[in-house]
Amino acid sequence: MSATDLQVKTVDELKDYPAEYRTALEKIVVSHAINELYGAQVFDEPAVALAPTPYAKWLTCRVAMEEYGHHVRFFELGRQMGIPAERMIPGRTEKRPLSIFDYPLESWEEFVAIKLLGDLAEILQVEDLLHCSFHPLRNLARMTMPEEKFHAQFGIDFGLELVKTPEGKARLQAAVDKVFPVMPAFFGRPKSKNNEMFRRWRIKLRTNEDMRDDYMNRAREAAGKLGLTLPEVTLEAA
Amino acid sequence: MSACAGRPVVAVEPLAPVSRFADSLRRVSWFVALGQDLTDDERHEAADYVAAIGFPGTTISAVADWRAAEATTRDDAWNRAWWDAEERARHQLLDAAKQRHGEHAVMTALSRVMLEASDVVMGAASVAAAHSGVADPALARVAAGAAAQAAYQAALALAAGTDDMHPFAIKFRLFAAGRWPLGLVGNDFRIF
Repeated sequence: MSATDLQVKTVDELKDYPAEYRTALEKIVVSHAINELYGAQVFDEPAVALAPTPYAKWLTCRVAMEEYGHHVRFFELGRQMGIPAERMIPGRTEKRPLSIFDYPLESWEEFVAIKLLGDLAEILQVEDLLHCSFHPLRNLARMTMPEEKFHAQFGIDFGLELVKTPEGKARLQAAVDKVFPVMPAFFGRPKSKNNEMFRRWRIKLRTNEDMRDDYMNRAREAAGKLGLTLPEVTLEAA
Repeated sequence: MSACAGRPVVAVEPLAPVSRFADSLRRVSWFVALGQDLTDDERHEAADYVAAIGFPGTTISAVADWRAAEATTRDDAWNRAWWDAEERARHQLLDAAKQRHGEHAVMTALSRVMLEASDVVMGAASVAAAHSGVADPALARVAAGAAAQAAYQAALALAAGTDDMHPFAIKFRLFAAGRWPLGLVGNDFRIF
């Protein structure tokens, strides 16, 4: 069987496949488990206090729970695959969360910008797993996607409220200017060895560069819906 | 189970009430009485809640439908002091619970409550909204967020060893009666 028609339907079948395939899957699952939890802890939970009304506070509570729920799903899949729990929890693993999470959240506008642009980046990452050769991971991506789309829509909806006034629009534009430059790094480096391995095993479909370029276009479109612009960023050459 | 002085003794898990509470969340009649007139019992519970959280004498009002509920939760005149009072109570309970049981045990028990609450409140809110002809995923999530927060607060009150007249215990009873307490707007406590 070649990797192009590889289809692995259950976790139990994994033991019959090469170590490189299992390692590649583990990297993806660990990364999602860590980043979903870390994102909920450093952005969504603190944002409840910054939200301007009970409507926004309770909606943010719910979004935080959904992000935490994503962590739990990836964590449980990881445990089924034999990944030690310590590798999937921030603070207990040596693997650092994505650099985007080093960003200190200071205002409601910044949270809205992160939902608008950060969760859009997450959508692209999950989209690339929708046809993954490992079906338990593919199915998890399909289960997660509607909530990820809602979280990006949250950014658009609250963004539309903010841009109704010139002051609100200026604050949101400033937040976008501050938040956006860290986003392209979410897609990893060009010519990444890991990405090459993921594509070889049909876990992911696209190169980091393709995904990043697609993201830049979709981010520009999302910002444009709110009458906002994206700051210039220098992208690492492919 | 162990034996002592010839009699069997059941080992009591200190956070067992929180665990039982988590188990009970799937049996709660979430959001089944939205929009109905408030009963006398519910008015008494509501009055007890606002007094216990620090706003005695607040008026109590029923909210008739989902759109009015949404407008209440978005009202610029919402009472920030009420939310802050709940937050202060939450911090006090968290400190007390950690002191009693240790941080890891408390956070583990509360995480279980949130996981149990998460799916059931979202499903119940979506069904209740749909039955009223409201197809609004964001508003259903707002209701689910409020219910999950109330479950967390009530579990925290149990973990801290408070009695059933703690404001978080009372607020949860309003949710358990199928209501959605929307909070204070000015000096008016609104319940859907």
